[in-house]
Amino acid sequence: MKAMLQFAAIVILFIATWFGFSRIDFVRIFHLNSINKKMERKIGDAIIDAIESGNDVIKSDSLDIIYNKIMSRLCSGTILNSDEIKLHLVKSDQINAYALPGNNIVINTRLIEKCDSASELCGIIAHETGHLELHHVMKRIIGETGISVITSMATNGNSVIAARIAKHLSTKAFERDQEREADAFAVKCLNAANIGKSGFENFMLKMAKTDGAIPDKLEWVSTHPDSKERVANIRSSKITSPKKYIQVLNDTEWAYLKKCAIQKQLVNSNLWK
Amino acid sequence: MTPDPISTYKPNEQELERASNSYLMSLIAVMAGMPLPIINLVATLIFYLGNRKSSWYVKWHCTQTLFSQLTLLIVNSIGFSWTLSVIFGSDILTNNYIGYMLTIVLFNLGEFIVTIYAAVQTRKGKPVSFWFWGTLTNMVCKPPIGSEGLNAPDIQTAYE
Repeated sequence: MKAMLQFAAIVILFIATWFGFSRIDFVRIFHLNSINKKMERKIGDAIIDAIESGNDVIKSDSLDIIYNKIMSRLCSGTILNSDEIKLHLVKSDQINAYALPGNNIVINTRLIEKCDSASELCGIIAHETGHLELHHVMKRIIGETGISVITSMATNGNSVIAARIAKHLSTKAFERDQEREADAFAVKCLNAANIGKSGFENFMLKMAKTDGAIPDKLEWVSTHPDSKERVANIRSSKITSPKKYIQVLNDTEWAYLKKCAIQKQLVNSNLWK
Repeated sequence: MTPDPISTYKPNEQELERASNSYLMSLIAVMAGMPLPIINLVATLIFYLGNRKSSWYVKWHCTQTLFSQLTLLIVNSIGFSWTLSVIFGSDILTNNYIGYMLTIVLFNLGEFIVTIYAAVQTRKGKPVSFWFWGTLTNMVCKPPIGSEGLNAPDIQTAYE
């Protein structure tokens, strides 16, 4: 009995101390989130610089308008800030899209070529946004390169390491659970934005058909395995579908995006008109 | 009220040294095993097993150290796995996590100070019975019958 009472007293003391410390807002006092965000942004910038130096990145004011439109719509039903997520269109034969630290998402031109509609593209962007919002990207980099490398990169912006990380993030798959979480996030996001999950499902279905016989150029399939199982998960998702569907991009905007992706020459001018 | 059996026992010099060493062992293990909480327990367990055949007095102190280390192992392991989850898993840095880590640092520090005190006092022949762990040790480590107020050689006779 005495031991039980003493044990209870120790447990209460422990919990009370923990509760007391938890009431102090350390995260806000020491700006821990902003430190993380600043570090992520620096790492992201270094990786984007490395990608830009080794690849053709398509940029134009019209593309920026389209990116803003896509992100504003995707973030409309959520607490996400659309201005914080940056899209980058990279000329590449690989069908791929990947998330990078600092809220950057890289989309290869070949992937846009393979998309039949803007809602398919939105599905992929929503999935990659899921990886960003669920902190999968930074955790993966820390897990695979170590905190010391990350810290030195955030302070010195080492371009060699940045290029290696970019290569790694674009070619290696996330863990199965993380992919499932990002899919669930995407479905929630797409439904909240009145885009619906059908576009995402269609694209996944197209990718599922290539599973088992992955052609060299289908990098998104190799980095996002188990497509069939994931299509089934997306279909069985209990998240309520939107009552009305709104088109993300109009025909002109979608045609422009496709044109940017398909053309052989790099676009720097405004092709809007 | 019955006096604590450990305080009425009169140990010999060798017993005092061994009993005091059981605390020192856990301190060394704490320093060596900072990042990996299991090391503390393993070291204390080895010392405990090594003294299984020692006198009741030494065994009592080894058991008390083992129990306190076992408790720390549980809270430290939770902290350790939570940290791994924050760095590599799906958890993020929260006030709850920081609060928990500060709490276990505080408890470890408290245990560290109390252990040093216990080691010094035990060496001087003044045994320290920890709150809860001492009571628990009394429950599992019963003194030999008729040992109250006896000195070490008498206890040895009682064993025989």
